[in-house]
Amino acid sequence: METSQATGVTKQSLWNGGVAPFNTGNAKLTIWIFLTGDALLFAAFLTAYAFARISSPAPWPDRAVVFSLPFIALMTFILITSSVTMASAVAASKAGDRSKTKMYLWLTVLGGLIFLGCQAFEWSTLIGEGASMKSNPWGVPLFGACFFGITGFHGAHVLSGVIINAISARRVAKNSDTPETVEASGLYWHFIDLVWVFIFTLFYLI
Amino acid sequence: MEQTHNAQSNSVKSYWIIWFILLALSVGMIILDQTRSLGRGMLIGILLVGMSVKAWLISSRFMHLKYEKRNFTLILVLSTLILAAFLFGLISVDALNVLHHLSR
Repeated sequence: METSQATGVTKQSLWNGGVAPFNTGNAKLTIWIFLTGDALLFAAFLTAYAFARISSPAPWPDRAVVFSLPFIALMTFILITSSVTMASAVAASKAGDRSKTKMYLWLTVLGGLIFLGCQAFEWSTLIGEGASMKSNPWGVPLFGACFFGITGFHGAHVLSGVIINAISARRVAKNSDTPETVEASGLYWHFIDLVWVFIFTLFYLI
Repeated sequence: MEQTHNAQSNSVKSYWIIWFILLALSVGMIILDQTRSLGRGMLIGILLVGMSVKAWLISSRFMHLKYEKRNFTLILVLSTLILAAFLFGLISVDALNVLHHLSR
């Protein structure tokens, strides 16, 4: 304990332990540290895509020709809606409402599965048209590698998020989960949505 | 119990408002992109601003960064943004160099 001579106020030293840094719990602090690293992983992927695109003398494939933007808009709608259900699950968990927490978690799982189905459909359409990691019918060979690499990693994150949320929903049903861990799952899911915001703009629109 | 129930339904209501704003921004960005009525530079600028607003809404309202300690938020956001900006900035310079050599 430190006592200030000027004010006589005693304050707990932050370096003696027993104090939660930034007033956050272990689960939240840890997930945020993980998400910062994961954000930089995607920053690296998008930077590699930027390098491929900027350094290419040949024009980059026209997104209007390659993608169906209404379909991508639908995928965005599904992911944003699942973010709302996830946030509602966290709010319900904090309020101690187990049945609503379960309901919102399962709705989030459903949204994630629909998104993955849409992604799989998009991939199969492009592969059917001749796109691969090494080549594609629209021009610059690296376009395929960038597309499948970036959306593949994002899809893998969505899949792991779906699994985590399903496990969380089951634990809530058995009353063995805590609001902190539901919140940590929620942060991971919102991060997935956040990454999609960047991929949607930088890959599908620009 | 009623207070926590009211707080919960107020939270859920605010999440749907953010949902609507995010959706409106996404649709607006797509329409702007499809009509191609703006110059390329202006279009990219507006899309990047739209992207940043959406990212801010998700991180501050859904991820509750708005309600965390300010230093915590600053450490997370600034470290990521500064590192990403450095990464992109330096790589872009290299990419333009490569383009210049390949175009000769």
